[in-house]
Amino acid sequence: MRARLIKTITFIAGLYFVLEFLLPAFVLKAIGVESAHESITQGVVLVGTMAAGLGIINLFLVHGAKIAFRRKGYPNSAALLLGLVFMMFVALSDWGATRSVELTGGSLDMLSQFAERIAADSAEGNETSMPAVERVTLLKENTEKELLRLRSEVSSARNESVTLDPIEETFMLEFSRFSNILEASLTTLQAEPEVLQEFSKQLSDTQVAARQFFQHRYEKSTTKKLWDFMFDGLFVSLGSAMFSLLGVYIAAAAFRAFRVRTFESSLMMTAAVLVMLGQIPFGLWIYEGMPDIRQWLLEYPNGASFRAIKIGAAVAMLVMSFRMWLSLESDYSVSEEV
Amino acid sequence: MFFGQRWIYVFMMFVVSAPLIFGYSLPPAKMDAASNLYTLVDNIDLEEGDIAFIALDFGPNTKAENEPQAANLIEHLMRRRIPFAVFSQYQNAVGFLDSIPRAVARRLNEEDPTQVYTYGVDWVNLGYRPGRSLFIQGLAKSDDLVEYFKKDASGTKLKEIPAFQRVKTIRNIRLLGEFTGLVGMFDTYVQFFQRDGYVPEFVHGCTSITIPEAFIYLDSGQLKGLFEGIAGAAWYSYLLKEHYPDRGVDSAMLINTALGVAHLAIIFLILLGNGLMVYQLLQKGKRT
Repeated sequence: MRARLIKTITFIAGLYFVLEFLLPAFVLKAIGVESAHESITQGVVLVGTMAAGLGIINLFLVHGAKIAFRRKGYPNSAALLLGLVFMMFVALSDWGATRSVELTGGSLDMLSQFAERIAADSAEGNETSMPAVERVTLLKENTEKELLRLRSEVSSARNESVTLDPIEETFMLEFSRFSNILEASLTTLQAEPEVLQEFSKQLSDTQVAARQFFQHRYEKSTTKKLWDFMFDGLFVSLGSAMFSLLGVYIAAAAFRAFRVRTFESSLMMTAAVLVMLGQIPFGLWIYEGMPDIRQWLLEYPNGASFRAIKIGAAVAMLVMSFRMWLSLESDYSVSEEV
Repeated sequence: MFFGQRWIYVFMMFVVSAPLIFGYSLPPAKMDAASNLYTLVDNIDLEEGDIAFIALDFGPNTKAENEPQAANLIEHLMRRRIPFAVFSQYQNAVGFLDSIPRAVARRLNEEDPTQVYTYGVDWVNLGYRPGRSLFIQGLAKSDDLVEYFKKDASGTKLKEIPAFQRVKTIRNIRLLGEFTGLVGMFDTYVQFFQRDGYVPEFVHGCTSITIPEAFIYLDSGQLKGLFEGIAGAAWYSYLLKEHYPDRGVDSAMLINTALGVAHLAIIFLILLGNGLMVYQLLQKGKRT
């Protein structure tokens, strides 16, 4: 029963995507698929993303049990889980820190757009639900509030450090200058397009200055340094080191296994040497036309054979897809049949 | 065998690291596909609301090749003031989405302090986007990309980001650059990143291993330009340096030289291995 249910769901889900891809847009629109498709797609992505959560739970179950019962290799499991938890903590902290920088003075941005809107409506003589004077009063009140909040944020950040570095000092002064200009403009703000446009620019300048100050503080924060150490220092270096082993294996294989014993192998070696020489700076020392020879080899003999491989693989993929769609490849169906 | 495996490892280590340690770089070999890419980016005429999309689908494994490629394309776009959005379908690329554009912006600002590049205006980080082909299909079919993506990597609403103010559909994406060393990743874009016959100018950065596969798309015209491994990135660097003489030295040429030396070493090892085989056969013949 369970297997039949899974098979049916797999078939219907596959059928949906096949038809969605093949049917013309007006048919999809008529049957209401077009409007629902985005939600369905996101649902599928969500199911896929849940696999990551399952993976984490599985890791904790397998390696947690290994550590709890002190099985063979348990220190490696402990290192894995510690690394996982620590990296998650660092990544989340970094995300929080960058998010707070991006949000700095976000309301000033909105107020700047509001000022522009009032200016545009006044200039074009648009009718609005609220008179321009009242809108400007609202703008003033909210700018005052936001400026006060932002100044207190900057000053509390300033008080956290004993000394400011020269760049920080510059950003701080820049923010003070722009916020003072903005404050002074508040007293003369009127519902006139030119004045409002200028005010909008001042709001934007103040916001950018505040964001630069916080961005710089983030760049030199422990959170950022920790993230850089974990990602660039450890993860990237270890990943690159693993992949670079491939170069050493190729070199070892070139010496130990690449023997010219037949006509085919000599053909292969000649092509390999020519392609390598055509790609490296030293090839030009031997013959200037080496890159052209390489280009020809890649374009014609390689292109023809690779197309054949790709077409063969695509046909195999199609057959495989059909087998999966019809649940002929899955373990659950096999286990029940057996 | 008097020349064992561990000695080959030591030999390779010295050979590859020598140019990197001594900072020795050679002019790269000419790469036609990278030249085409350069000309393409140099001649893009933007209309209002147009943007470039850059998919950084690589992790630490292929960083040595893919990172200089991506940095070079980003640099060229920035110099031409073409706004772009970076995103990835590979979770391990998250760090690069932020670090590469920022590093290039900083480098260009140091080169010419009058030029400032701002996040949100010159580039946007759309972050990691799961879903592979489903995500690409959704993107291509969307009538409102701002609504489709909703937020950038740090959670800011896209409608508040200046670079996305007038971006509507895939037709606003003039250039798509995709960088990967993963098998099967690039094909997804070829298949699905299109709508009603419209395909953005598609360029690709691959690793040296996947060059043969990428060439068939170049030949068919589905790819308009290609970074052929680190050699392509080095040639692009060379072209950038030619057009912008104040440009500083980047890592592409250095890595390309190191890789060139490694290739020479491999050729030497092939010849040595075969030479020894012939020698052993001759010795055997003498004994019998």
